[in-house]
Amino acid sequence: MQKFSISFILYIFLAVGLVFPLFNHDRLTGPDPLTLNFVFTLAPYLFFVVLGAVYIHEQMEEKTNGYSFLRILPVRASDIVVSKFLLVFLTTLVYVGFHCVAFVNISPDPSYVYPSCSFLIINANICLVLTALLYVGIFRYGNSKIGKFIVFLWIFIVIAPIPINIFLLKRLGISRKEIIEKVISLNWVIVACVSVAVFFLLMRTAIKTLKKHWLYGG
Amino acid sequence: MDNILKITNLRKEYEEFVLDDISWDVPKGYITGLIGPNGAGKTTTIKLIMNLLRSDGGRVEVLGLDHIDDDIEIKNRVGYVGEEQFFYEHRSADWTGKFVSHFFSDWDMQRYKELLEEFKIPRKKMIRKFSKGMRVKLSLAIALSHDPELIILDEPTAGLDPVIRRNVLDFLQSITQNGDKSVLISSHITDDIARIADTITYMINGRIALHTAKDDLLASWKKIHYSKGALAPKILDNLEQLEDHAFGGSGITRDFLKIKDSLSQGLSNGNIKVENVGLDDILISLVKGR
Repeated sequence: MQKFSISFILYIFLAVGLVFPLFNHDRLTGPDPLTLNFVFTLAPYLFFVVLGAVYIHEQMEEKTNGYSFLRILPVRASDIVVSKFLLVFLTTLVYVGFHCVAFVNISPDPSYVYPSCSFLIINANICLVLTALLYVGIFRYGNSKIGKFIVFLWIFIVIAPIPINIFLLKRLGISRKEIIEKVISLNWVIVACVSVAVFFLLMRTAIKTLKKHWLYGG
Repeated sequence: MDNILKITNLRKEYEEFVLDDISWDVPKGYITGLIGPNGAGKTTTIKLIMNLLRSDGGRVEVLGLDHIDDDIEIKNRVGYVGEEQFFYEHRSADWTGKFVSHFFSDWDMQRYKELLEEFKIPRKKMIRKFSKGMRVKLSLAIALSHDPELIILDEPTAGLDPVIRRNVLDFLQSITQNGDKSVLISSHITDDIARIADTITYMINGRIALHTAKDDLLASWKKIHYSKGALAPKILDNLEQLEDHAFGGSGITRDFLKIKDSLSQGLSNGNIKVENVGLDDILISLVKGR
């Protein structure tokens, strides 16, 4: 672990996520890619990358008393928070942008592009809001508490879809395709506008929280 | 005399400790030593100056700037070495220098590298493998590489071996030679303060007990040894920390210059002897009271 920097590991994660569609080109040529695992896997992978980045960085900040180091430097609490939020925002933007461009260029049927991109964008926005909430929690309660929740989320994202799918299909008769179609039926533009606004509002809350609970030691 | 730091009625309340409306000026171009027993409020005061704690009242001006409103400007112009040194532990001194260089407007990388060399700090080694002395010196190197006008050090020599301690103190003394830099150093190791400070401030139980030039302090505070009957009762009343011996006694005066003339006879016939006191003795006197 010490031989590889954290950033390096995250870049590997991101790179794998970015080239994912290229390796799954054959799946996109199927009759209905949404019924396949492709988009359904691609969207949660963003959660892995972003939540992983947040978890590892905050773990490192806490372990090395990074905030104690930062607070003696001429840097504002707001600059620290904005840089963290911007990193999350840009990572999400790059991830979504790359995949949407990939869909446009790889997908054999243009009718697949809109639903795939729409699903991915809506997922990305959920990820943005969730991450912002986690940051507020981390600045309020510390990474040792919130970090456990992030790990739980990670595991949930891996394991939960299978039993949930089985439950929905067997008990309620709702298939995965129907869930995806339900998500896609939402207007992604409105979802994106609302969630980005919430993301930046939460960033302001995070700034206030960091100022109160970290920089001045409560 | 210009002041580089001006504190007015600064207050901080904890459950078991109160920094009690202290007012204190630190002169520009000098080394000021802040002495006090553990728990006197030295670190609290320094953290308040650096805006690392929220005060419950009062005002602090550093370099003529408000310590809260101009927090960034102050941190840019003040070199701070805390009682604990925090870094990104898995990084090297080289990486740390590059990292902090983004924040300081007057960062001098060449100076930083020279200081690393002078302090014999390994540039590539991970900081988590540094000794306590190396960490203090790295912290000092960072504090000095952005051309600070004021250097604030909180117990910098605690835990250092004597050689490194001397090294750090000599270095601090050398950088104030031109009079353009000021140093505020807190310590309970009074030898360190005695060695380098120009002015001394004693802090006891959250209050400034004494603030004066070191030379004046050492000229005023003396230990008087006297034979029985050699001291007039009026003078004896002015002594503190009185000790009785078989042939007389001894005590400490805070105002030797004032009583010097009245002691002249005893001094000439050997019934009275005057001894210099250390900063430790003064601290003990101040803690115990008259």
